[in-house]
Amino acid sequence: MTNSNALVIQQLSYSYPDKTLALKDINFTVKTGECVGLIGPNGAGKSTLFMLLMGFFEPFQGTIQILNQVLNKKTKKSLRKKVGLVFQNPNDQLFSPTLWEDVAFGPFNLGYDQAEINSRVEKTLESLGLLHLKNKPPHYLSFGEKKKAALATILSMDPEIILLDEPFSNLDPESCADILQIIQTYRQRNLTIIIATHDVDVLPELVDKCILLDKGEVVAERSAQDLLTDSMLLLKHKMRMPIIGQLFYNLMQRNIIEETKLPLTLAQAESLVEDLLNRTK
Amino acid sequence: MDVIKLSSILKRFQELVYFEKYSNLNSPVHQVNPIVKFLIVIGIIIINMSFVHIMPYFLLMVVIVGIMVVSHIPLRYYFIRTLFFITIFAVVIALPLLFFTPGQVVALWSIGTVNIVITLEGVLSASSLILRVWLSLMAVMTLIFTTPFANLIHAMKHVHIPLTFLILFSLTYRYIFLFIEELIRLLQAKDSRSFRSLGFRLRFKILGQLFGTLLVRSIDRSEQVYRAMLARGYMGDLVTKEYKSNYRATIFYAIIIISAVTAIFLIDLRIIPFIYLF
Repeated sequence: MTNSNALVIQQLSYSYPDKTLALKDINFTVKTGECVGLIGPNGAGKSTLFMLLMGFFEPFQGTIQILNQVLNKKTKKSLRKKVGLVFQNPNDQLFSPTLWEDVAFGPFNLGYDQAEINSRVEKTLESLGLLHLKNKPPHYLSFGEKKKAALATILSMDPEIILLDEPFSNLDPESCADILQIIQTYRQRNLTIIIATHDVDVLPELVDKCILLDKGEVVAERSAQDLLTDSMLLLKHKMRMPIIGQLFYNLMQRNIIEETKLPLTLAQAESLVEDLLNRTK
Repeated sequence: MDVIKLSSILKRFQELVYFEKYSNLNSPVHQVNPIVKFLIVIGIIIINMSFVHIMPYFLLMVVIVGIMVVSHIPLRYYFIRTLFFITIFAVVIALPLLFFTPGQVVALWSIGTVNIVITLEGVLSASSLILRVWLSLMAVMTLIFTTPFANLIHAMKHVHIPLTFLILFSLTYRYIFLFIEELIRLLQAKDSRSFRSLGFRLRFKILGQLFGTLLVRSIDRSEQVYRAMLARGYMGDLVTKEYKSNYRATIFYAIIIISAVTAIFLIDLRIIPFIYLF
């Protein structure tokens, strides 16, 4: 993570054509290389915010600055080369006759020559374990494979910022772990990643900070540890703590264990349990 | 119309338009350059439309069936598909010709004051039209059955078929299965909550609502797909994959098919003598 800003959103408001206010006075900053969790209940405005960040919707108020460039009608096309959006439904993202063409679509539009396109497609598919499926029509991939393929279509463009809309929804545990692994791998390459989700169990493994969005407003912007352990705040906004944190929170409430920093990942929980057992010996 | 029956019809249709099972085989015809195959099929269709006599249609049919045999495509599978689509065409387009072409009457029914007449000229023009369209369809099917869809798009791009048409064609093939699946799911969801038999009018009303829902979903999806394209820098061009084709197979295929079709054309012009049954 560096000190430069990848994304600066100031007083952003947006309303749907029927005048329903979808986002109201949104302000936040994402640093380059940071991984941010955008959490909130259904209808909070997470996907709408992504549409605005890609320049598909126009805000009626406020500004979006991406990689030190203000997003507007003139800059949106050039900024799309640097920002990749992975849609929630992979069927929206995979529209070509074969997986190869889908993954090649982005590099092709970026103007790369055939050799570079081939190399990018092969490299991306191989890194995601999808190379054996390159000639398959997307329709015949499993849902987990489609989710990974949708990610591949963006990664082949080598974007600087990746927006992931519900990347873990409807996935079996193995596919979920695969996607998690892929995001972790790309995180280490200093990519800026924003994950919109209401599935809070996997977030602590990934994100540096979380932004809680509800009814189109930013309710809180804190470190993942801080926000995801604030049970009262999360409940108030129809969210919950990660299940591991919830378990230890309940045990603390019943005075079965003494007050401690709540673990949010399996590794943290294992370490805490080991510590507690050692102390009781 | 029974809802379950409609779902099974849709599933059957889905199977009929699924060609990938055979288009990825490795027969000599599959190894032929798709651009050559595409141009030959266009040539066959044009020549087929210009035939004056009936006999050349059957000779051309022999050539097309021969291509399918060499391609290892089960003929039953092939004919079921061609006949399915030609039946739809025959009912919609060719059938009225039987009744509305003036000429020598071969059959007549009187229903009240209305006379329904089939003429000999009507029978001839309907059968000639069906035969021409059937053969054209068979020729197109040889291309579809022996060429992966992606290679077909690549070939069409290289012969300068307009990109807009290719993108539409490509998206239609990609989403037709999803569309049918979505419709089947809607029908099943409706069926799972239908506990009594409904009247004819109510059934159609519900079907209308289902199709309305499907239309809204389709519009929604089309917008999302377009956004997904724009998000990856779409500017009206289409990326297609290079493929490896067998040079020898391509030359061999081109010589044999072009020679055979030219011979049939000359037979039709009666330049080459043949036993003319028709």
